[in-house]
Amino acid sequence: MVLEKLPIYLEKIPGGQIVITDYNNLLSWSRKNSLWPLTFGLACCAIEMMAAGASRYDWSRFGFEVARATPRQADLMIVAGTVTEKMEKRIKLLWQQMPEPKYVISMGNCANTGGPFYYDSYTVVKGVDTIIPVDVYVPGCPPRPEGLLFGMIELQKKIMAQKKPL
Amino acid sequence: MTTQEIIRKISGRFPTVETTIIDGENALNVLTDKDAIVQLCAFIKNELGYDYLQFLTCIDRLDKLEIHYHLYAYASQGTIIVKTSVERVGGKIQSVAALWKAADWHEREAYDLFGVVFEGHPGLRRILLEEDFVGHPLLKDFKGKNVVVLPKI
Repeated sequence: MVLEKLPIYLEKIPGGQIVITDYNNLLSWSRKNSLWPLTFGLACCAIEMMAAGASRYDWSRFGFEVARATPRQADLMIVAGTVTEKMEKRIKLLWQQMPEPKYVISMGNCANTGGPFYYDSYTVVKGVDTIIPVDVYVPGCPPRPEGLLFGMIELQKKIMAQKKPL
Repeated sequence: MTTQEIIRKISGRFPTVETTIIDGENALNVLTDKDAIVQLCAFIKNELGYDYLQFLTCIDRLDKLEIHYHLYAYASQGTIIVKTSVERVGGKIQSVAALWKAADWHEREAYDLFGVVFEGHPGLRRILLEEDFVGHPLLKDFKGKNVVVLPKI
């Protein structure tokens, strides 16, 4: 039966073929290939993030396309850098302004855990996951663009693996 | 003007201040009482030509807060460090922001991180931390909600 061959089944017909898939799979597939990141950097990780978006590494190849300057048009927030107590409220607000479905990548050790500022710091938040939910953590100080791209592709796999994306 | 002449001029006008030269430092240290700070700074600026406030900072000595003014003269290329101290809790001192514009932000920083109140400052409020931040974090007994103390090994 066709249902056993899902998520994707190719039916050959004379002169071409028909793709049969289920609705959830189609939705996840289209979402993962058009994740627009928010233009948003906090510290030196943002430099690597910009490099990942520029022509040498070019995250547009994987569907990340354009970084949007407003949270209203963004699907993906890359928290690139140190989260301070002063920035905490702003990050939360930006995340709340993003439309569903939204995804968060925590980039670098500072955003993951507080990193080198974990001890004896009076302003650094110990990980962005204390404020907002995080989908993928990318370790490194800072991670190279390849590392970030790997994390973004892992996020795409995670989106495809969702059973009920709606 | 040689250093000896500067020392003579300062101690002629302000007999109570101490002047020292530390070996290896190309700077004259002037220790003063906090009440005379504005008069002393005005004298050093207007009479001796130290027209540039390089740096103003505060040091927590546990029993007092020491305030340092690093002054520089473009013409004679000399450096004077004026040192004074205030009480650790609720310390107050006259502002020198009217003499050097640079003192404005430096004093705001010292207020932000150490809690020293600069009287006569044009707008004394926090400069780096948020307005609703509780406490002054560079004091050595500061305890904040985000601070995780490095364990001693």
